[in-house]
Amino acid sequence: MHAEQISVFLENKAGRLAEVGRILADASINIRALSLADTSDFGVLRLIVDQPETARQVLKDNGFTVRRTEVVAVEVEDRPGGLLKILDLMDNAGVNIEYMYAYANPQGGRAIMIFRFDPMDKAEGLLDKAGIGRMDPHDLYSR
Amino acid sequence: MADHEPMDAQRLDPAKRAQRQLELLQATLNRVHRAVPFYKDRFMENRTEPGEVESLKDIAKLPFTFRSHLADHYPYGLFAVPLRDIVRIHTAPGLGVHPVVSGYTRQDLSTWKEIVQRGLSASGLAATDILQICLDPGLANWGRDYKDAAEVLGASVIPLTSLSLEKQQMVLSDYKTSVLVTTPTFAAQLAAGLSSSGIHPNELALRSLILVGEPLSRDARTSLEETFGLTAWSQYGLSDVPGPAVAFECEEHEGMHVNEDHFLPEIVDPRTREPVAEGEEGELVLTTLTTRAFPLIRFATGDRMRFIQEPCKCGRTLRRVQWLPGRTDDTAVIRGVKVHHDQILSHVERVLGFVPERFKFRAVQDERASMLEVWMGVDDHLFSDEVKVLEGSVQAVSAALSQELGVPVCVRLKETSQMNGRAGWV
Repeated sequence: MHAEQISVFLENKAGRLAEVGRILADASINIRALSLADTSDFGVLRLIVDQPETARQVLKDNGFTVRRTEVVAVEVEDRPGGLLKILDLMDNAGVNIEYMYAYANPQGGRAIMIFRFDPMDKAEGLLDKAGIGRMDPHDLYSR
Repeated sequence: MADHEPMDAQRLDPAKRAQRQLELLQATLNRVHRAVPFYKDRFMENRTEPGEVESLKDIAKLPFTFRSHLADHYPYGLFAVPLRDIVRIHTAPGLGVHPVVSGYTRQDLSTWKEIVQRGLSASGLAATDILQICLDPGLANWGRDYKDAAEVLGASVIPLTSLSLEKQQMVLSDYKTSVLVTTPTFAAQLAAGLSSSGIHPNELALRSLILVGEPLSRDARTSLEETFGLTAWSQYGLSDVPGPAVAFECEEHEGMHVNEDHFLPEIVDPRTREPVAEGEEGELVLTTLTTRAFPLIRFATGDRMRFIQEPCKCGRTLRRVQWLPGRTDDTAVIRGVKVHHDQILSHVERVLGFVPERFKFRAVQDERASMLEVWMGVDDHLFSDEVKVLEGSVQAVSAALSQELGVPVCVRLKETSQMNGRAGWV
């Protein structure tokens, strides 16, 4: 089960991130999680939002280059070693983690991890075999 | 050492020279018509025969040769002699994916040596001089030609090697270089670099700068001459086809004498392609008169020039041109290297498989840096959610352009909304 992430290209200059925030807020879109990968020149903003398609459209309408990317969202026990299990699983099978980010979930005592694997299908097979469930996108976007 | 050639050739009566030029032109036209299918076809399309050129003015009946033609005939399509007669092959960046390949016969090499010697002698190069050559890789061909000619004149030559600015300064200062062949851009960088490295220009043995690749403005000349306490000499050449010192400055420093015994210069209106009135500015067009392997007929150089009509006080009767800044085509000159719009696009397309819709480039020139700056608008094609993929595109484009063009390149990714207009120069 895939979750959808919105990726946005940003020049590394003042006000661009705030501009994205403003556009999404004006469209009443709620950001559930985000990560910013940056270099000295540019950045890639990755967002999990409650309405991915609307978010993509409003950002595009405002001149941003946007892509929807499939990612995997996993609930991890919020205690030492909770993440390690997944990392070991992928490492042993030679699956790369292109990037990952997390947000702590205030309810339920579990953290939510967002992963982009390479290759994705192999990673999902491994998660299934190990009995590690993915979050329902609906829960992810709206919880 | 005295001039390697008698001065007479440079002081020939203009009428006599014109007669000699016509004979050489007719011989060249007959040769290319016979040996180079490209020229034969061009003449036919234009409904002209070499036989119709009965005076020098008749050259206007012939079609022009453009840079794009050079790239179309990669590698040997424009050679006018069989390969077994070729003794050297030069490669220079072309307008498209292919470079421009030019060849020299043994006779061509010795002709070029004489041409470059003439320019060097006019600038007073002597056997006691230590001559250092400092040019970007895009002008490597010129480096070889200057080395060969200066060696014949007996100077001690420090040939072109790729050294950092600091190392070039060290050589310049420690080896007691007296003549430096370089571009105006590099000379200005050197002047700026010296003051920060604590070397006082007075400590240098430098007495002459031979400045190539770019026109030398009056201000730049004055500033360099005052900083270093020396004399600057401007020389004009072609970087994509042979070679340097097509025109050179004499001791009067009022324009450059064209080596008219080897080249027939014309100045035309770049739009109408008609000759301009004498003394008006336009695009320099060159026809080779003595070249064996790689003759050029009415080659449109893209360089802006005007003829100086008055005879020169130095006594040379070779006609003078004034080289003006700017270009008549879609080209920028970066560190003396010509970079054409189409060249950039074709290399980017080869590397990425497409040209980003928003795509701009400019020549950055200041005292510290001189490079090609490329801005790519990140569109749906180029974008990736992975930083390493984006950085990979930047590196691939940057490596390909600096490799192919021979100039430093800086590639930046921009938001498409922050750019406007189609691909091109800023």
